[in-house]
Amino acid sequence: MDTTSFCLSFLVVIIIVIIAALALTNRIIFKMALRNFTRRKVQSVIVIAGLMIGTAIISSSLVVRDTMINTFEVDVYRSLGEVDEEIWGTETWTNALYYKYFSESIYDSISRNLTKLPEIDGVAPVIDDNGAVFNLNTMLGEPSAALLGLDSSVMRESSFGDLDGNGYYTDSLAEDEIAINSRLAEDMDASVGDEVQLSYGAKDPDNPMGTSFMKKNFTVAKIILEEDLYGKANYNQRKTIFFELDTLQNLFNRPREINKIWISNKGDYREGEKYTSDVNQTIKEELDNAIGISDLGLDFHSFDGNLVLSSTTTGIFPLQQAGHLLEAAKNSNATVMKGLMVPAITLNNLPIFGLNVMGVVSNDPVGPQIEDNSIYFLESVATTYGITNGSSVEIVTMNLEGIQTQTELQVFILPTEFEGMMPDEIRAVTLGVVDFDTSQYMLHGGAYSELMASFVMVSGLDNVTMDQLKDSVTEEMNEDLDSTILNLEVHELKSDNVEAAREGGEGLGTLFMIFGMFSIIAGVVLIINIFVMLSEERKSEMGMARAVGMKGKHLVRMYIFEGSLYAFVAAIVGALLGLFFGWAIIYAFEYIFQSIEEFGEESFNIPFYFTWTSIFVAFSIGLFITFITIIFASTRISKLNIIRAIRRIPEPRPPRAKKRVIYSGIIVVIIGLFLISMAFSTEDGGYYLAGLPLVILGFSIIAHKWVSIRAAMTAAGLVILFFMFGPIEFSFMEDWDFSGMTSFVFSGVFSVLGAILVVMFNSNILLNGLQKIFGRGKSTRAVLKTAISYPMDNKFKTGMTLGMFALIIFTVTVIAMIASMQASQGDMMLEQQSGGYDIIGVTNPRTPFENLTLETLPPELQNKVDQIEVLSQSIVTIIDYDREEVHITTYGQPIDTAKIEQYQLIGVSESFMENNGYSLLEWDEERYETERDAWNALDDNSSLCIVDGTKLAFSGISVGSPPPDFGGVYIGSKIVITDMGGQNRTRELEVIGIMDQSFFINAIIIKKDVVKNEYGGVDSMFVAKLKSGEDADAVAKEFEKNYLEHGLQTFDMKGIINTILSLSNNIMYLMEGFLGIGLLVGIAGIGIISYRNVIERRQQIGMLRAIGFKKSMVTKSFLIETSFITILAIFLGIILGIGIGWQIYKDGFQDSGVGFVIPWANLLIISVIAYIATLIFTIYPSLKASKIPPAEALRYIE
Amino acid sequence: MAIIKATNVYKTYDTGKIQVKALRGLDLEVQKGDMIAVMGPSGCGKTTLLNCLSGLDDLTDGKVLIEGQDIHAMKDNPRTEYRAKKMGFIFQSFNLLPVLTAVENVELPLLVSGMKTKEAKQKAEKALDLVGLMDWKDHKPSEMSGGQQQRVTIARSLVNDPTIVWADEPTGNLDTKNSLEVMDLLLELNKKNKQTFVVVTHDPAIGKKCKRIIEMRSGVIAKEFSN
Ligand SMILES: Nc1ncnc2c1ncn2[C@@H]1O[C@H](COP(=O)(O)OP(=O)(O)O)[C@@H](O)[C@H]1O
Ligand SMILES: [Mg+2]
Repeated sequence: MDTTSFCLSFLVVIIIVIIAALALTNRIIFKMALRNFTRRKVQSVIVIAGLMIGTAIISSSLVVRDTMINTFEVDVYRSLGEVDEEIWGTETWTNALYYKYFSESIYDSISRNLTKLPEIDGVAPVIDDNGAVFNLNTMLGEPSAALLGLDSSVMRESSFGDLDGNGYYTDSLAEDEIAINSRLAEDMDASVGDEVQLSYGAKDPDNPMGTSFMKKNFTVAKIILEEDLYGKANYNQRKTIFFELDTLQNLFNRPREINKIWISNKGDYREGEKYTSDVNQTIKEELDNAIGISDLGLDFHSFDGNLVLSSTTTGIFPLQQAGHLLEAAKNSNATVMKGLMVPAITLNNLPIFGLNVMGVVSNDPVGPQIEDNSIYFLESVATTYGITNGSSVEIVTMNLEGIQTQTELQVFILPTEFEGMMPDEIRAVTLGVVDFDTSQYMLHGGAYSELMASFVMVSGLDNVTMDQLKDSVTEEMNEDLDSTILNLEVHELKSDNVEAAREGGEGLGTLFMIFGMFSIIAGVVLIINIFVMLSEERKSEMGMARAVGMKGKHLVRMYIFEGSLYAFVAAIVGALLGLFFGWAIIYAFEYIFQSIEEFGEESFNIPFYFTWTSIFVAFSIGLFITFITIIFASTRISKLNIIRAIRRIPEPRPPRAKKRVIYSGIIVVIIGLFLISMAFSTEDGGYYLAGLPLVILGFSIIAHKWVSIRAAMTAAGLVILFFMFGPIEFSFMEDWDFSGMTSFVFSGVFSVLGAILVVMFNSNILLNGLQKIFGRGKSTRAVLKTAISYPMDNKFKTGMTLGMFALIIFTVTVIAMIASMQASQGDMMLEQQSGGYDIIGVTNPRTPFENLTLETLPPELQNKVDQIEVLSQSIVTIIDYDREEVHITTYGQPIDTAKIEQYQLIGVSESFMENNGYSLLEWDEERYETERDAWNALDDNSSLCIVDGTKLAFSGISVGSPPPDFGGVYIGSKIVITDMGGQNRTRELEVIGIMDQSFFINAIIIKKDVVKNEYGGVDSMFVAKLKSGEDADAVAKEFEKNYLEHGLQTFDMKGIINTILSLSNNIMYLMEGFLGIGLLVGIAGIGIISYRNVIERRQQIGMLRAIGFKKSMVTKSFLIETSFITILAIFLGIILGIGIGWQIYKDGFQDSGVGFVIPWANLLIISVIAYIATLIFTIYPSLKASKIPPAEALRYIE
Repeated sequence: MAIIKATNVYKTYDTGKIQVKALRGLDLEVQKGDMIAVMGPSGCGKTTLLNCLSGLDDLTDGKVLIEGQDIHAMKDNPRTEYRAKKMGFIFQSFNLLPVLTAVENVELPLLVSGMKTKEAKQKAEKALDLVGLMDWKDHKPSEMSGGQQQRVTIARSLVNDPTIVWADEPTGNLDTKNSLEVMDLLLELNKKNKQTFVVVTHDPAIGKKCKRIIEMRSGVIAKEFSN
């Protein structure tokens, strides 16, 4: 039990104890209360119905929260299963979506030590990669299937276990067999025995940093049903192909390499998460310990008595990594030679195979002195290619990014004695020798600040042996190395995701709670109304009781007893009813999600779930609210004047304020001032919106000493309304946030209060008008008179009823307005987000497009595509950027405004700049006349950029328009980026434009060449506009099919936006539906009040009938009375709602260019439904009343 | 011709468990302009008789003719209209609408029968003047004494110039002084307007003021006196 529920149960216990103690000491009074409670059953039921609604709303919000948390949590458990932590790193030299490979020896070391811990029951090596797969039998494919390699022997011995829950392991697969899960099988309609073609990127044996693109056919040997599986074949809930680990290692040409380590904590998939905090530190330490120089791909070996450090994997390493060796060599006056091998492609246009240009530098005085811009050919090579001393050659080499670089060099022939100094295996692959700096230039065009090397050779040590040097340097190097060098990290996936699940569910529940707030407030008003009515009705009874000697406090107690009984029953019933409401909401949610095709049916099951703790919390809060209200209502009773009570005479209102009234005015002012000070300290404008009206009201109460109550209250109402809607903004409010929910709630409550004050204290103007208009008809004169006199006689009760109903109509109006503005924003969003393109496609970055243009498209696509633009993608590190910092809150939760550290860099071609339809939110209008000019400027100046609509203010997607003024970069901001490979390719970019688009592309957009040449960008993305009449979804599928081998995934942009729009609209409707509960409160409230009115006035009805009121006139009178209140409330609610809606529009929608719309049709429907419903609630009791024979009605009470 | 002619009137209340025979074959004739007092102990059926004669309640058996018309044969609406035009009512508990002022209460029957607002108001004020309450016309019932309230009721019962005024214990909630004042008022009006008055009372002092007294016992007329 958490602290909240503990406190609440404590409170409940206290209430029960107090009531019980009072009941025991006042048994007779308790008995009387009990009798009152059971005396009129129908009435009790109605009172309880009124009281329970607030509780039901709280309860349903909590149930929604429970279900959502559970759904998200279960999702996490289903994805991860036994996996609690994972170790992996992302590739830094390309799009960051891929896991970096590392040596399995790291796993060996970690596993050895971690499995000793009692909290850990499994550590497993994993390959988790992607490939495209195509079923040759059905001709259906999946561009991005997960390829998962698992080590069966490890799985068997650890808690991870089998794949299907039935003892299946991947070691039963033959070399050319695969197992797939049913998600993937369904996708390509595969069955066991089908032959599929797998396209994947394997390590290139010639270029260790490159990927070679491979295809291989496999037979489907097993289809695993992942339904009901936690983890296992359901891992990450992806479409997956399973391999035995070493099969996949061989396939990828990566023996003894993996890219993930799974760790499972003690306990099952649910419990493991608890131990994460105990073990995460140890895992990190073990990871750091496990990493050595071999993981960098470095290795010492000896050659001819010399010590050589070289890279075994990539062939190239940053020279910095040899720092310890160079230091030690210097200390023992050794000779050092550094070399860099650059692969050569052609020599004087002749192709060359397997030979490299070697750049060297040595501190050996007898070593070769190599001139700049020269190449010293090996004699054998020179002979083979017919190169002569003194000539000049053109050599094309391949740089780090695989781009060819041409260099012209002066030829020398290397003296043979120097040739002998080279290790054999190096000599065998060497073309000739150049200066170290020249080779650096060939390798990376000078873009890397750091020197690269292929080997470092040390010889001629003074005072240590080679072995000693090797050992000490290795130790030093290992010491230095930690997981960051490999970019490996421990990811506490389970606990992070479970936490996120809880937050997500919590957020949704809170949203419902806040929207339900109005209904709860309306419910409280209803409770007060009910109790005031009860006390009115019982006045003479209570006066009698006082007369026969009962003290005031006894009466209060009796009332509290009766009220507590109501409160208890209502809280219990309400909490359970909320359970039902919650179920209905969840059902509606599920229906909405499932009705959207794209999500598929089974993927959006929201199993109904709740905890009894939540029901209890709802019960306690509901009980507490009701209880407080009852105590408040009861104390009024003790002040009853006996005679007036018996004779049912209303308490007289003093014509001028007494001292007590002045004091209460002062208290109201003080509370108001306190709230305003809260606004200053929290910068939440909502408190101001509550405080100011209270101050105004308080002063009016005081002013009542000198002026009439009517003048004071009318003035208060008008001033409050003026402040709520008037254009009043003080400079101190500049930073205040008026977009929070407190603002919404308080502006609603207090603008309704202001309006009600004005209306109620000036009702006679209204009534005279009404009577003039409607009082002409013969039959309506008398009816109208009675109908309107009743509500105007009890202004407090009428004001409360009006307020309750107006408040609810107000909320419904505001939500309806937001929904309609959001809907009309949709069309605009469609254009802005798609930029006029229909589909967007992204490949696996390891297999980008080679040459994608309209011309190279397959013919069947060429016919359908009108325009296609290929974009280059890369990920860069953002060192710094200028931005406006705005602290915004949504629903009270501050949005994380931490700076973004990594971001996508997209390179665009000239043709894209010229043709794209992406509109700009803002651009540098001083320098560029049109948006097009701004786009085109990117081509002329590679230090200019345009950013997406999120402005780098937060990462992630914003559905709908991003919140206004959410900070981030601005026109003129400078963004400093650098490459993620640590080669210090740093650039400062100036923002000249900000796109409206924020959904599909979140990137800094610059000129294409720069992205490709300096940041390793690859052509992995395209946008295309289709010829008119083409079905975007179908063409998108066709693209995927044609470029399956690239792992291309394409999306119908407009389709997706529409889906999201309809989703958010539907959720809006669901909110409206939830507010419908509030409407129910209002309608039921008015129903209850009219029912009570009928009972209260039975005798008067008899008299009216006696003096000539027909049955229909009696009914009419009640209906007009209800209509008067309902219509007035609807009118006030809609007017005020439109007022607030206008403000929301100004703050949130106007900037995005949407027009202000009032959904009259919607509002009309809601109003008519609400009105008719209240009439129905009134018709029944008033019809019944009119049917009572007058003689009978007259006898009532006596 | 008798303005009220009741023959063999039976009224039985059926409450489910028991049947209360409130009127058992009662005959009565009242002449136009008469003022009769119906007397008898509590529970003998006085109120029942009044309700049955005036058409506020239905009969179990028998016949009641008012001005020769069988009001119980009428449907509810015409009967109600008939009441509005031809009858006035005064009850024991003053039966004013608490939310209306004195003058509004008095003008209500006029508005019911479709009179224009202005006219109704003038007539109502006249009626209030008649009962001596002009100064109180804008007060609500809760601000007036019992006697004053009952006088408002009387003003209301007479405002539509009814042929018959039914009064059920009009002085029941008043002290002696007020009772006599109210009774004198009724007598005076009876004399002036020639309206028929049926006054239920158990107060002999009040009864004595009427021309004709009917003494009831267990649902039948036991005795009859004339003053
Ligand atoms: N609506 C009713 N239902 C049942 N019994 C009734 C009803 N009205 C009156 N009675 C009974 O009928 C009898 C006559 O009542 P009533 O006419 O009110 O007497 P009175 O006016 O003389 O005091 C009494 O016994 C009373 O209890
Ligand atoms: Mg009686």
